Amino acid sequence: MKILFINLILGISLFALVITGNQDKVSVQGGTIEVTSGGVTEVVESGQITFLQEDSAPTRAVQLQKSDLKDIQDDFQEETIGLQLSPTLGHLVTLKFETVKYEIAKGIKKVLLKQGFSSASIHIDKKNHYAKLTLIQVPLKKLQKFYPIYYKAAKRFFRIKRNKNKVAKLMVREREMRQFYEEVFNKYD
Amino acid sequence: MFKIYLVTFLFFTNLYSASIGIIEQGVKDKTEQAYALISRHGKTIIVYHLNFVVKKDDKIKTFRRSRLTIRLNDNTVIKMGKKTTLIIDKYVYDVRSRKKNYAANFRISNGSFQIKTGRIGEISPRNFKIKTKFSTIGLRG
Repeated sequence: MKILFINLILGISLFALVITGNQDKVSVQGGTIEVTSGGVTEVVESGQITFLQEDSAPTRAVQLQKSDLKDIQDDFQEETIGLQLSPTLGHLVTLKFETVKYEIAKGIKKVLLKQGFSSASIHIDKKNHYAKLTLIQVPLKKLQKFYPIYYKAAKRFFRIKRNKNKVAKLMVREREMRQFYEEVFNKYD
Repeated sequence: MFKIYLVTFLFFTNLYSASIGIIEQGVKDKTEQAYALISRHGKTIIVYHLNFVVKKDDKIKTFRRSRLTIRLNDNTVIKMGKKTTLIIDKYVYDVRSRKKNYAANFRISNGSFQIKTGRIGEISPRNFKIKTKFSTIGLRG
């Protein structure tokens, strides 16, 4: 029974191969890989590492040293700590702004960045000289400070039970945009 | 009535087949308050929650301080470090299909990675490819 169990474990682990690397090096555990660079292929066995450079062949595979993958391992080890610390966002709101001149949309984006909104959450869809700006999935709390009217609307949306896990989508009309970003409109309109 | 059932069935089958895996674990970037950015059919999606569905042709980008673990349908596990870009060029894995022409092609144009192969690596190792900036990595069958 024990032999069967050991065979089973060995059988599973034999097929699972772990490739670790970045743009400069590649190593493998539990199998063999072929690394091709600059037209040359190097065979890397389990527990070996090869180093890479632009337009040149991979170095001869050598035995992996502990320090070789330290930078990569450090990168992944922080994962568990980060998971415990990561904050919960709560309700999310997407604000779709009405189409305006591209220059104005760009101006508003600058203001939003100054207000602390992340660049990843601001999206500009440009069509000719006009653009549609979208503020994607912003935490509700952040909305309270800059867009009190929409905060109230979003709160009403989330009060409904079936909407609790949804993202509220609100439309910001040009009239309101002019109120929020008067300076930008005065400058570019 | 039968037509409605058929259309609904096909719709959900299609939806199911489009998904090739999920974002299983991760660390959020504190500034961006998100795990990653996904470019899908010209649209940019921000990943705020785990269990996010990953699809073929997705371009997944982690932020300056975020990390991700993706589990694909064949049990391939991809760990992405910070500032890493992964593109899923090809992913063929259908358990229901009789043809076992499985394939997985990934492109990692930036950053660090750790990939644990799953069923595709086991059954079709020759069709499992990873491209990085300077190299192409293949499994030995």
